[in-house]
Amino acid sequence: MLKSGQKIEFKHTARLAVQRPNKLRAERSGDLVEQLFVYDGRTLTLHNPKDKVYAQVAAPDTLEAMLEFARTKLDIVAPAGDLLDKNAYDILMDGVTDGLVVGKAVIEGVRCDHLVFRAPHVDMQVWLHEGAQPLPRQLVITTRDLPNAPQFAVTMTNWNLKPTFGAQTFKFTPAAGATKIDLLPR
Amino acid sequence: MNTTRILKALTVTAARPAGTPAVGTVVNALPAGCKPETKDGVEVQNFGGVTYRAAFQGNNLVYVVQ
Repeated sequence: MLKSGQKIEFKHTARLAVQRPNKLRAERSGDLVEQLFVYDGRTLTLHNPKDKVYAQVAAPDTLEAMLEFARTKLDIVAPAGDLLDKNAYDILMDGVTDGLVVGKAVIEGVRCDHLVFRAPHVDMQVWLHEGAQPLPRQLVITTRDLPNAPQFAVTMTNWNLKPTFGAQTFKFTPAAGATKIDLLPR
Repeated sequence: MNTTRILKALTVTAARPAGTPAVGTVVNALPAGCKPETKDGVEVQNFGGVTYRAAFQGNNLVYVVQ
């Protein structure tokens, strides 16, 4: 948001691999940041490939505890982290006072059901794949209390519910010339 | 009068003229024209006698004045 009130969108794309209960790899690229986030069940690594730097920290042993630790202790967020949590429903529905089925929509070529919810500070819209397997397709969160009501939106494509992972998927091996740097405490 | 102390103070003043950032200052970007060097075994960027060390602050890459 500019001081003038003009709203600017920052877009990025993330590719995520999750293996429950305790592995995550998120590769994010976009106009603000290019970053790799790897969690192997013990260690969390943050790596900026272009800057050739990475930081590592010991992390809790479940995906949910790690996401909470990263957010509250390190101020680090995984792309769409709330949606990776196995308790995503409880997190998103926290404080929701009412909801509405808007109707049908097509998001990136997939027919979806469009639902909206209202909580004390945020309005939420969610689009779910129509049919027997209601995977989330899109989520838009509007923080309506802040000036000009900033929004966070994520569209989830290329779902693969039976992925195969290689030995390297959740392992971080620093490239030659990469420097290990500190993670400042919050 | 403790001349060593005064000399030290002068040296520090010379290395850090008025307007240079204090040790521990966190900046989001390095000044243009920084030169990489190694200080105490750590890679830092030097700009006019002020050295900056890279660190993550949350998801952001920042530089801390040494």
